[in-house]
Amino acid sequence: MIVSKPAVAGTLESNDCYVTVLPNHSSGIQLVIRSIVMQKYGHLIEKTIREVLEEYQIEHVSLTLEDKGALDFTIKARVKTALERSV
Amino acid sequence: MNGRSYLFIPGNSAGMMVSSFVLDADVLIYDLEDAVSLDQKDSARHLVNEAVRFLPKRSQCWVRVNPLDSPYFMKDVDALIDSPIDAFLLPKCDDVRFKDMYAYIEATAKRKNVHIKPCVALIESATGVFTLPKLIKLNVSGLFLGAEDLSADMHMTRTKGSDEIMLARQQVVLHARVKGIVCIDTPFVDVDDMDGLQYDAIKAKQFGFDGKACIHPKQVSQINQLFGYSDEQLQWAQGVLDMAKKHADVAVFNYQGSMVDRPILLRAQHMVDLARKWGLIHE
Repeated sequence: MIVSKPAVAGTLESNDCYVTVLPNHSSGIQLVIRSIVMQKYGHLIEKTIREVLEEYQIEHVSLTLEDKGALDFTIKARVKTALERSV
Repeated sequence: MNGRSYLFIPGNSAGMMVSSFVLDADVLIYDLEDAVSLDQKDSARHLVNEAVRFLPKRSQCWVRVNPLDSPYFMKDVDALIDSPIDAFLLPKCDDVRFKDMYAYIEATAKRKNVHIKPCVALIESATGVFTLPKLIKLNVSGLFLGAEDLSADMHMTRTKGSDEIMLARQQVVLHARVKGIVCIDTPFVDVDDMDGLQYDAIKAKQFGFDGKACIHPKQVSQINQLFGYSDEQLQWAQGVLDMAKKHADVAVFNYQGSMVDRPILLRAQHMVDLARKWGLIHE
């Protein structure tokens, strides 16, 4: 799957996250994660994002995730939505 | 499928979803229909789909999908057919719409080689009420009254007394009993009027409904209490069952001065089974 246009998903409400994806045709996967629990859970958030990217066979994307305490299922859902909106 | 409280959770609200599983609702209904704006249908579908596979399961979990004539119904079913949800709640049902929706769900389950989910019909139109005799001949697992849409369709004015929906309530309960399936009453929409909720729920129970929809977590405990059983009722039921064990060789016996025969015994057993399920009786 190729990210061909900018797309967003999610909210900045508590327990949610806001995901932005941008096309990036040759620079691989570029992730920016902002979270108040970055030190403790940042690596898990990144792992979840990368799992979804792998599922969608994304090789090039710029993805920013603004976390407001989202659980794993919410992160997955919001990333999937943003990716599908970007096609 | 029996429950006392059926709490609607907006399908695109991560926060409410996270808190929903710690509430005492017997059934959580994740809503992909009215609670979700058109531009968030895709987002809600993903969120519900991930949530039902991730969150610990304390209650039954149903999903209200979008109507048959929307561009979302098939996508909703495709996404959730192999998820661990307990039932689909199908909106805007009459006999024909239910038959068509059920056919798609059945075909999708077959295609994906999974068991078909029970399908509960939301009765919220004049045609829905009118075609109940035909509807219960189909594979419907429950009837759910939706009075707000019904009132709009019937040009009725909704009142707190709910006299205007008396016929619909009676029809829904009557047909559920004929079919032997669960029936659930419409939500009470003024979430700040707890006395009104009490009055409305008592009335619904008098009509014979098994449970009632909730649209706010604060309605749950009151509805659980009203549609559940008191300690006295459960003591009576347990007493009947204990006495029945001692009189296993007779069809009729006396308990606390009243005759107990098979229908009474079945009712007592039903009460105890439900109470156990709801956590009112602990082994």
